[in-house]
Amino acid sequence: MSTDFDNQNLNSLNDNQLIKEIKVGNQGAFAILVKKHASKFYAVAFRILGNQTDAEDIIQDLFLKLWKTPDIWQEGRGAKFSTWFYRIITNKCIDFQRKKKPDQILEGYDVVDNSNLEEDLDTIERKKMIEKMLQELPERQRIAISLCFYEGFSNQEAAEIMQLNIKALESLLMRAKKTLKNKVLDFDKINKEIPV
Amino acid sequence: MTVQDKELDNLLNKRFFRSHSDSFISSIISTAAATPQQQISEFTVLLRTIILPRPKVILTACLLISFIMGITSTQGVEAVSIVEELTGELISYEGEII
Repeated sequence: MSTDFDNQNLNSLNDNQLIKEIKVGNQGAFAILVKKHASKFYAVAFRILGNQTDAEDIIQDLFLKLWKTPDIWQEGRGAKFSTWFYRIITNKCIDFQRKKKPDQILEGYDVVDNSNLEEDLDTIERKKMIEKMLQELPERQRIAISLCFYEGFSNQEAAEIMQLNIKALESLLMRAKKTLKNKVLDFDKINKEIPV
Repeated sequence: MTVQDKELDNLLNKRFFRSHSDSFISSIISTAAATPQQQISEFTVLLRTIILPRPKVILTACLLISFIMGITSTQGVEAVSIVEELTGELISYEGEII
């Protein structure tokens, strides 16, 4: 069962309109919604979990739940669809991590910032070091840093996703950066002490 | 701002990203195509609209009930931890109770 939209028209619909279509069983609308958001949603899940398979499984699971029971999304609850979905993703990832104690660290990144092609190996190594240190932060600090720095959300958007007021988010960011800075200093100090 | 602050900001602003597998998006779409949609029950709607937004109320009510029932302190601690766990589940599972 679906309404009269063909795929071309579906492409012009916003998220709320797509979900209305999904509610009447329009698979084309679901496909467009998935194509539009899946990569960005995956990136956040990957950042929190540090594991590709787990991140993909969680995003697939949540999208399928949205497909099976699209009524779980209630328009007019004050948040955009994407903000609401990001919130569910972060909550789901936190639950997942609590149940499965983190035993892995991020490995094998691809650098996607094209402006960095000429970066030296040392800078790339330092970025990887920061990534590892990020994984050691408390989960809420890690999520705040991930949303604001890596995924490019404004502080206001990140606060909405994490259901915090903006001051609380800024406080999380400040503490996270302070911890990271101390870790970098410690790391550099130890490295200086080790003779080459 | 110290040198370390600048370096940290610089490093945090560089994006690292591991892309998802090639079949990731098509797998979601094809799995959904083979999955029937469901209607959520009235009870679930009630749960979502009345109970889920008020986890603190649930926690308080549970504690009050425990207190009224006069359970021992050991049981009380246990009850609190169970209720906290349940409340945490409720908070975390927005969109999960389907």
